[in-house]
Amino acid sequence: MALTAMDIYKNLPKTNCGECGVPTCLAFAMKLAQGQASLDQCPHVTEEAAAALAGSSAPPMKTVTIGTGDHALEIGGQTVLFRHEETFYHPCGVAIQVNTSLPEGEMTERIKTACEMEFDRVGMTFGLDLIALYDDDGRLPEVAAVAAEESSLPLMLMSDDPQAMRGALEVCAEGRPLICAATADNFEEMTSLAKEFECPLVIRGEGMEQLYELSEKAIEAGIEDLVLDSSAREPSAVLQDQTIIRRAAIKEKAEPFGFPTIGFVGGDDEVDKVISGCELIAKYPGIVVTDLITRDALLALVTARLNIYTDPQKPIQVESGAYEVGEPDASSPVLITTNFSLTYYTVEADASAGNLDAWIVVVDTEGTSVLTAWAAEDFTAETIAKTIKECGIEEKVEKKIAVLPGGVAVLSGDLEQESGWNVVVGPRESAGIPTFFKTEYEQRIADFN
Amino acid sequence: MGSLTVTFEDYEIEAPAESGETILEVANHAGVRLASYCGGRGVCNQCGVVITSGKVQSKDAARWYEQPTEDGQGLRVLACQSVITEDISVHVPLRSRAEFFTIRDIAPLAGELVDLDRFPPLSPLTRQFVLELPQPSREDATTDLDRVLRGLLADDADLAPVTVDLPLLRELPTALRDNDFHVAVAVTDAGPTRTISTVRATGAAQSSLGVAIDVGTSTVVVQLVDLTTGQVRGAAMRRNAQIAYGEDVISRIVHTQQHDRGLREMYEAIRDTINDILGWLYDRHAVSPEQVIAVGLAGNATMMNLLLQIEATPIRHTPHTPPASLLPVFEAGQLGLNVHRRAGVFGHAAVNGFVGGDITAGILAVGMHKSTELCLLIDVGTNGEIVIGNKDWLMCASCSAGPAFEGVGVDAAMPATAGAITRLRYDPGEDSFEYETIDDQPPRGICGTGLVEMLATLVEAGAIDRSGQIDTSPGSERVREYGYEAEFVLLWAAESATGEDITIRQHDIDNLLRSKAAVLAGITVMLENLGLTAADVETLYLAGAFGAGLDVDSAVAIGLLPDVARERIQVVGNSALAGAYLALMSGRARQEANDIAASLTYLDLSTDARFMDEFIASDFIPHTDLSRFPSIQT
Amino acid sequence: MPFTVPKERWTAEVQTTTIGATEADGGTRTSTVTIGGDQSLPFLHFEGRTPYRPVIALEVLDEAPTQWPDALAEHYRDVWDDPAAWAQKAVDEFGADLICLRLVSADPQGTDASADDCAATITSVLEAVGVPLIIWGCGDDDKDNAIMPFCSQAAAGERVVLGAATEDNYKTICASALADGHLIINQSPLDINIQKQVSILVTDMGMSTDNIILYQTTGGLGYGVEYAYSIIERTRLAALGGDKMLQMPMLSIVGSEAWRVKEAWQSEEEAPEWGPLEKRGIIWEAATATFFLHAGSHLLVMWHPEAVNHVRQHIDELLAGQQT
Repeated sequence: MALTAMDIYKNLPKTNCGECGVPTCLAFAMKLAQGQASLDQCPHVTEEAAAALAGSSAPPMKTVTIGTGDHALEIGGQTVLFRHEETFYHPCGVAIQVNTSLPEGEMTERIKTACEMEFDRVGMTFGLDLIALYDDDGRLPEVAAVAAEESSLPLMLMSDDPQAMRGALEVCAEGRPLICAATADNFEEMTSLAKEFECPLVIRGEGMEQLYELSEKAIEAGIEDLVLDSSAREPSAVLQDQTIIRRAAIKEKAEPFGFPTIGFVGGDDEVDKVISGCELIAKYPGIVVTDLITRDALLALVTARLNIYTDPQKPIQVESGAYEVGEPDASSPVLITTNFSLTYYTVEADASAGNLDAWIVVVDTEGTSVLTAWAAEDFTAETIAKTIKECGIEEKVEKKIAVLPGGVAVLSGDLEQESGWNVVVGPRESAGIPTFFKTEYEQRIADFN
Repeated sequence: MGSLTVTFEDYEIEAPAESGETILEVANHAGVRLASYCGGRGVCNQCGVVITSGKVQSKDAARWYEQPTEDGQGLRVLACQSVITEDISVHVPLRSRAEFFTIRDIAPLAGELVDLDRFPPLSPLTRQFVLELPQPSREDATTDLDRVLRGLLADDADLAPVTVDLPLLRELPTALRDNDFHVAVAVTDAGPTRTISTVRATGAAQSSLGVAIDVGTSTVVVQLVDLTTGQVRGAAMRRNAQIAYGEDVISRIVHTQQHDRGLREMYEAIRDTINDILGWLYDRHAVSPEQVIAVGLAGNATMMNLLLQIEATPIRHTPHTPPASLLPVFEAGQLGLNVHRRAGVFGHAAVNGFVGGDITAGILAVGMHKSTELCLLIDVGTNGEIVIGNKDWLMCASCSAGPAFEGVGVDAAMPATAGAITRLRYDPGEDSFEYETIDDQPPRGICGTGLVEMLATLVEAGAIDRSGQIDTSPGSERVREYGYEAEFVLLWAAESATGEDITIRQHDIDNLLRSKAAVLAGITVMLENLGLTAADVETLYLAGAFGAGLDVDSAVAIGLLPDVARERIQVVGNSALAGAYLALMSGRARQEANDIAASLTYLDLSTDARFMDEFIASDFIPHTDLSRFPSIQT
Repeated sequence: MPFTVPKERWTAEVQTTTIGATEADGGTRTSTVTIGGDQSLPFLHFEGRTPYRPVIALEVLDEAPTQWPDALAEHYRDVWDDPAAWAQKAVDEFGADLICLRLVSADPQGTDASADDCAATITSVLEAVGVPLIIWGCGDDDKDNAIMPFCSQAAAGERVVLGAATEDNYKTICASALADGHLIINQSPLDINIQKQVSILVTDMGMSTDNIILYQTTGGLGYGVEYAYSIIERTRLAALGGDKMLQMPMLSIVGSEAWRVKEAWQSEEEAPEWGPLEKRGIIWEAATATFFLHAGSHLLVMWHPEAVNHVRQHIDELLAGQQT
């Protein structure tokens, strides 16, 4: 159970000295409670207090790094079960499975495709994360050498045979590949390999009890970077095991389960595999392994991952731009509003309710409402004019007439100057839009003709 | 010289007008004072008048406002947006008149909130000593200043160290000799030192007075106080003239940014408001400004900045930083206040741009900083400020409640003065209202206290649903359309003092709900941040817009307050003014106030994602989570 | 320390709700649909039962769509001029558990069909299929308020679901549902609090909680699906925690939301970076549906028959782990 700010405050010196960087001890206690500060920032905390507070500050799930350099993949480090509570950190890695039995040309082609696959979304570029070499013919060491050469992405080595694993590690351990996997049968050998080559290790247990025991043993053996696999492969069992592991880690702080997990995409065809991948992305593995390689399917998975790992605390925003209500044309009115989704959807709903065909120009105010944005100077003549210029609305309408929310009527003069548009002050409340357009609008714009 | 005529029927004034002038402009010239907060921009909708004959040409900003009166004989327009092109006759409804700005007498604060025994000893900000000093002689050639100091310290050794400034030294020789060394010496407590502020004839000092001022965004309140006894001579309030530049502090800051003289104008408006009230009090209580030698101020950070003419823009921007927390004690003359120019001024310290000296003052007055119980102070003014804590710690936050409960932005609302409805109860069976007004005068409008009960009774009767929507299903005569929204008639014209129906409109209700939602959400999120719940609150102080007559059950029923045991709720009224008064009268109070400001922890709700969530959950009567309101029957 | 499975002790379960009425219950449906009753987060059989499987409704428009991409249109073109035939095909060929009929023709901006026309459409669809119905207006509040009483009456006794009550417009639809024994959809704009407010408002009007389906406006994959995902998940948590106003089963609109997204229909020539078009729409719809299932939705309104098949199979797999 996490400590509350009050619990923490009781253990602080209560001097409000400000040396920790925040003005009061209470403010510092709140930061600690939210995990935004660490106790060592307080120079005056007593040893007793530090001991009392120490337990609550250890993270419930370890962060594990696979690979090195620019393409190193960090997974785990989650603090919650549900993304509305706090962001899921470290988006899960997507590993593309490559079988060692593939003809070499096909194999290198597949590795190349996976390494180069990129998708542009929300102004950023997203790619895949790991090449998972699946040893289906005993050639792992040989293939690992080729893959280490060909792949810019970190490797994951899939074999239960310690001999093959050793051979592979000898040629690619420098790149800190993920060893997959230690089982009850090969536990000693695989854990020694992980230690010897200093690589992260997947522990695979037949069922939860065995996984728990093996993980405990691995921790005892001094291995710090583990990834967990319960052996479940059917969607129902996968979902339940993944949930149990995550829950044990977060809510019970069960140390052997305080590691990221791995999940394997199942299914017969492309659509099934995407469905399986979406399940895994939602709940909860840190690595999702798949043999999918086509852009259409991977686009869906990469998008799904981006969605689930988005910061949920960000106010729900609409993208800035020009939106349509009904079927607007070059003579339709242009309404201005902010990108707070509730604000936008209210305006959109009210405009639709009034049977308007209109354009709505949405100004990026970082997800705040009209008046809040105005107060903080995010919704100003300048920002509105800039959006009008950039969103392409000027090419879509004949007459440059913008309808400004009544609450910010004060901006109208400046906006006319900044944008070169005529400005009509609309109703203060969005609910007034239908009446405004029925009774007012035509008269008001008559002057501009 | 006007070629046209505007007849103001109610005033029997025929005012000359030029074509192209607005009704508001003509009214100003003719001495017909209309309410206008927005300075004629067509934004505040306060200057509504009825054209009973003739036509006007309407400007853009508020044509939607226009609509025929119920009897179809007149047209409602905004005076500021109506351009005169021909002779017209105009009716000015009472609620559009500037008497909105008239000064009103109010009862002085009383009770525990202003109990000086809590802050002994009595030591006003400025104390006056009557000294009979020996004349200088060859034997005793001590300097004038040392002579005065010797006299002072003989009276009260604790005054040391006492300092003086050059202006005083310039006056000193004359003042002493003109009065034969029999003088009244005023000494202002400037923290670690004392400063001699005046030396003058004893006659002027028969009673030394001070004023405590609550510098509010919407309303300014002044108490005239006898500094030797602490007794209050009188109290009065009026609306802040800055309202002409906008209802909220942000609009006013914007004005200072956009106009070269903006800061100056804003300063003048608040200075004039204060001086207007002071002048009224002086007349009424036969007092001269020269007698007033100390001023205690409590105001939010923006109001203080504007009064002190300090750039206020940083308050608008994150992290909303005020220029200083602790203010130096300064001279009233520097502020242009109509008191003795050397009177000392103590201003309560601000914590943040949104938690100002009014809150520090409020904490001081309710005494939560010395309490062993968990206390919650809620000050609902134009902003809602919340303080949680006890003697060990104090945390504060601010939420933009809006001035709805202060009666701004709600058409039927008015201040808590004669004729204001304070209580009302709707009987849907009889389709009638029972109500009480202040001084039993015929009803003119509703004050904040009445608005709370109005919401509670309307929702109980099903006239509005729990999201605040007026029930527009046919059947009730009281419900009708007004422009694009529904309005509900509370009292028919025949009953009201204004001769018009007293109504509440959908947007009024929406505004009230948003105000209360902001307050309740603020409280919830603050408690959550501390790992506490409403049940942990042992004393809840409700300060600000609400009078002692507030029905606490209604306040909980609508979800303005969390559901805590009623006996734990205390409606304390104007705690900011009380704090200003205490600081005026007691050095210990001043010290404690400064300590409070230094120890308060500010929580920024605007960056707390839960706030928006809680706000929506609270924008409902009483809240979407009824389990938090176990005492409410549903 | 041995491992024990951490189980949540929920204090409540999701409300069980039945859509449709057979002759025995005063209707004419040949089958009914029961959803809800879940005792745990979605499909966590170790913790509680999922007594009823999530169901799939196929959407039927009462007017031929004009902008459907070919991948979708090819399955419906032969029947889309006749809502009854369309519904029949959806049930007989594509295995719809129920039909979601959307009265787009009522839109005053479009055909502006009369209340009588809409009522006649409903009658014909009721005659054509035996599965239960969801009936949705055109989205114009005033018009929907005008037609809904007639639509409701045309289906009196059938326990159809009427959509949708919103915070600002719930009275007409509530009154109709109460009069004719139907269920209603409570709609809110991606906000759990407003969802709850609508529930309180309609129950204040007399709707009983087992006649309500919750619906959050959604976005497809890549366009805000995560907001709906989290709100549905939070709603399920609230339901299990005992919040009666959020305990009703949930509906998610999948088809129209997924296919609205450019990724679902833009050709490979226009957007080469998105890969082949052939399956992209199906993938998009199936992925969107998967998220809603795992968040806790009970009723998915879908479009593409192939996506439906895959999602149905996934539901089978998820329920396979449950001991009977």
